[in-house]
Amino acid sequence: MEITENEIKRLASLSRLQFNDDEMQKIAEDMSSIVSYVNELQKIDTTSIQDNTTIREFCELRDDEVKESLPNEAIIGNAPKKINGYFIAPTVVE
Amino acid sequence: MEILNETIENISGLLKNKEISSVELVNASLKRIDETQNLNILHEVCRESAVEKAKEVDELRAKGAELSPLAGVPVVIKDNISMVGTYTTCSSKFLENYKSPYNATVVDKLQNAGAIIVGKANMDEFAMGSSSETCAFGVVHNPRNPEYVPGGSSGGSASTVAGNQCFASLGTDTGGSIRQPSSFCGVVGLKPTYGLVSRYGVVAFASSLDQVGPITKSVKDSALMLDVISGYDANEFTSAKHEPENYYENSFKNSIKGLKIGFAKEFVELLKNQEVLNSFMNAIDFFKANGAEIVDIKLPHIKDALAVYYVLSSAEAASNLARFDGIKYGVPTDEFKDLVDFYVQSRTKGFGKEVKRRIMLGNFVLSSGYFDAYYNKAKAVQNLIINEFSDAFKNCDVIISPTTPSPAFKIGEKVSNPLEMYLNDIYTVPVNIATLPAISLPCGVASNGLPLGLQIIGNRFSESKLFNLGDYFEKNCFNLREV
Amino acid sequence: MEYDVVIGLEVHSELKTKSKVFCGCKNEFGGEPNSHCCPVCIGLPGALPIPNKEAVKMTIKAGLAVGSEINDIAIFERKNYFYPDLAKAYQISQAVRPICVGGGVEIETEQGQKKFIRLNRIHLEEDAGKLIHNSKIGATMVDYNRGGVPLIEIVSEPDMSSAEEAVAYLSKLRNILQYIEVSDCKMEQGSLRCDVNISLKPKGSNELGVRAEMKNLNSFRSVSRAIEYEIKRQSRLLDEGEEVVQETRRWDDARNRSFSMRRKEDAQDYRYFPDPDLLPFKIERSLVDEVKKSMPKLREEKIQIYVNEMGLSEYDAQVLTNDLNLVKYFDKVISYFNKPKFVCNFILSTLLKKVKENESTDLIIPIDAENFANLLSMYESGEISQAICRELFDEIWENEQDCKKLVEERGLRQNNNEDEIKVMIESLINEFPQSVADYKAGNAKALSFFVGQLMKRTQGKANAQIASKLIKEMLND
Repeated sequence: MEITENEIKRLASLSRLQFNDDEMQKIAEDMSSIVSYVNELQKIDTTSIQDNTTIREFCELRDDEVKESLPNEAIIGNAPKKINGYFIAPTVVE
Repeated sequence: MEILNETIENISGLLKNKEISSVELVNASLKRIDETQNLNILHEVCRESAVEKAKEVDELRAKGAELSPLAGVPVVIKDNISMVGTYTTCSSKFLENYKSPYNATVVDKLQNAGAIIVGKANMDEFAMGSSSETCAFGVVHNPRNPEYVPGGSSGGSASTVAGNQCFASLGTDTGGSIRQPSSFCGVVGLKPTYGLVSRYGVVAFASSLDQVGPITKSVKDSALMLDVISGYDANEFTSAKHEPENYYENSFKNSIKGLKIGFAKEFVELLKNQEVLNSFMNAIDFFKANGAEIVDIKLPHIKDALAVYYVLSSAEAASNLARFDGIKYGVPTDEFKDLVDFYVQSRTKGFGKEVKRRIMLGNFVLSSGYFDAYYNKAKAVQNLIINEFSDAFKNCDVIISPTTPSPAFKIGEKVSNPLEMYLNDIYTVPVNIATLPAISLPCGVASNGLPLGLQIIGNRFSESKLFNLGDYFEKNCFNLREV
Repeated sequence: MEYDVVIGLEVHSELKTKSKVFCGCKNEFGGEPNSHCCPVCIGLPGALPIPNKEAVKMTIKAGLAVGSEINDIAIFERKNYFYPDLAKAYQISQAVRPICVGGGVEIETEQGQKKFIRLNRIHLEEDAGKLIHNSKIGATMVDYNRGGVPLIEIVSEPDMSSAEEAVAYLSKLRNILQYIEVSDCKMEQGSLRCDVNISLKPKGSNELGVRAEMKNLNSFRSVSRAIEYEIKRQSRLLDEGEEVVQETRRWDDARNRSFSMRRKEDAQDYRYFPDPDLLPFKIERSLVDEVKKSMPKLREEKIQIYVNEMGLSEYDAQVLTNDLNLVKYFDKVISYFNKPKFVCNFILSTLLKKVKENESTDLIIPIDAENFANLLSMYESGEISQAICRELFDEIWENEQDCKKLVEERGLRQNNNEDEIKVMIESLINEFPQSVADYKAGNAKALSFFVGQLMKRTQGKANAQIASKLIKEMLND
């Protein structure tokens, strides 16, 4: 199955990734061959499988108790940009 | 140092009898690590903390405390396992500076048992790969022959044990990432039953397939490690509530009489390498000659497991890796036009080619319009495979196969063709898809000098059967350490 | 051209659990930034979610209160999109198998008719963090304290056809959620939010028109105005033969109009799939039964009790039950002083006025229930006069004190002593002969004058009824 350049652009946008022209070509080729490979699954008869859902056998929901949070320094410790206990993100235009 | 060639079983005896101290062991380990730097096995060495911990253990032992067999033993963990005080990079540029503020459950368990973590092992970036060539900090070299890959994604974890830098390591296995490098490096690698070992604190690749497992020099050591790291974790909703078994105490029966070993011809139909085929058939003959019964089983959809794997694991990976945006952690870009571009530039810069490929593929199969045909279809075929294994296990105790279709290949040999790389996993992937346990142990040496591996697959929670058969084989048929 | 208006509402309500929905961090409004956080709710690599049982129970409660079916298997799914307030770049929500399905709410239309608004579903999900723009640094600050707080999303069918109906529905929903104590429902604080989907179609036509969505309206007024505006905007477009674009619009309350948000948002492919960290789990019938048993009474039941068992009027019961906090207060007061009608009358005539003066949407009564009960009890028994009661009430509203003590210390007891009163009346009659004459001439106001004077002389402590009676008697002599 051939993955077109437009499709690559759409997927790149969803993935928040960018490819230059050379990379574009390579990834389109790679994806086309991988998708063709996984396409083989279409030929398999799965009518005997009624419901895909695997229900969890053992299931412990958590009691509603407050546990100690991590201190602020630990939470924002790895942030490349921070100020006054907040993370900093590029400006969001509403 | 010859002491580094020992198994945990032997070394813990020496430690117990105070014939050697943990500090000596750690120092020997650190020395060996320094000597083998060219193999690029470890990303980080925990020099100070390891020596300090070794001193503590020695002191405890001097006071006469009863310690676990792992106490004072140097071990290594894969660099996608969170450990306070270290970087957890997943061998990615994106996480070059990331220091986790919390421990993975398995790290807590190792530390509580007194094990000494001496380093974080290099891997394929974000655990996606079969050769450890996608490590952002340089390829990892196979200790048996540095021109060859150690396998992946736990290439560093397998190499550190095979290279005698330490006595055991933890790797992670999503489609074979413990077993395949173990086979390539000639060591023992176990992928436990899904849910048996906690995933909490292990950077997620494919959440429904990932498992942490031990890589060791012997099967008995593998059982010792599993005793320490397994167990229900309330921090993980997919953790199994399985009654703790004493694997080391209870698995080894020294006999395989009457054991039913399943043989699926679908496995050998895919095999092209004669050496692999021969060593595998030798193993079968050995088992037969020693009282086991070889049972024919059918696994007709085993050949489709790889496709299922790539659909499901990529889908989960695409979602799991979306959190890497450069705001909360990571190495983001400084040059960007707006918010969306910030994400794009940071991620494009921070992720390697293979990771990007998988994310793209994952988003493809999750896209509305394709979801039903790919994701749901893969889930249905997964159920087919699970049922087939389940049926097979009605007639046998374990199933065997080669671990990999060929021995280790040279560095650079397969990087250009992703699909060809993926085919390394054809024997290991079905096991993850079916949530089963499997162990790989050395069963021969190829003409290129690189080891060959035998895979033993069991039903859920049947690790003790794997240990028994594996140990019997190791003791009576083939032990690479004695070759 | 005449159009039918088709409106559906998506209401998000924060649940008032103690901890967040997938981790044990505190679920509390405010606090220092990023001080209620952990690896799970800020999406550190390797962290894993564990569902909060109470959040699941509250979702079931909400479903039971509106007559939904509770699914026997619940599936959490990932809604994938990038935004700085979403730590994991996916929101754990529900799609194909929500906890509650169907149900509905009855409202009264402007014409006074009853209308049943059907629900599509109620599902459980997690809230995102907060973004705060910082113009000094030209960037946005992110606080994940709110990230991971449990939300229920209540999706209605498009059964509403006017702004009034939408507000009536929202108001009823809010009342129910408050009554079953799953949410504070404070719209201004954001614990209750509303998205509106609205489209127009030619009157009588069966084909639905293209709809616009407006998000995060946070007051009844905004909801109402946004709908009115949209009806006008879409009508105008359709009248001119133009098409309504399917899009998300932002409502600007200050400018009283809606704006189109960038189209990119509408092209979102959320790629929902079941969260592999949270396998589908069974909702045991025993859990549902447990929740059923602990269901508090809804407003209608409360009204029944007040009317049938306590003899309150239908109207009074309606007013009393408008806010659960008032109901709770009332119930507590009558537990100390069991005269429901009396208490109700005082509350409706006097207390609610005070509450309205405060101008807050949330009901705050600063007087302890027992203290208030004592005050009313003293008034009802005649121990203090109505005037004194009112005075004390005003005083302790501003500055609470034990009213029994006050009465004691200040000697505020009502004077019921007829002899003493007669003496005072005597002196008054002597002092104001003109008023006596006025009374005798038939001027009834003169009576009030004497009563007023007597109350003044006694600092309001004279028993007004006795005073009135005696004054009449004595004047008639």
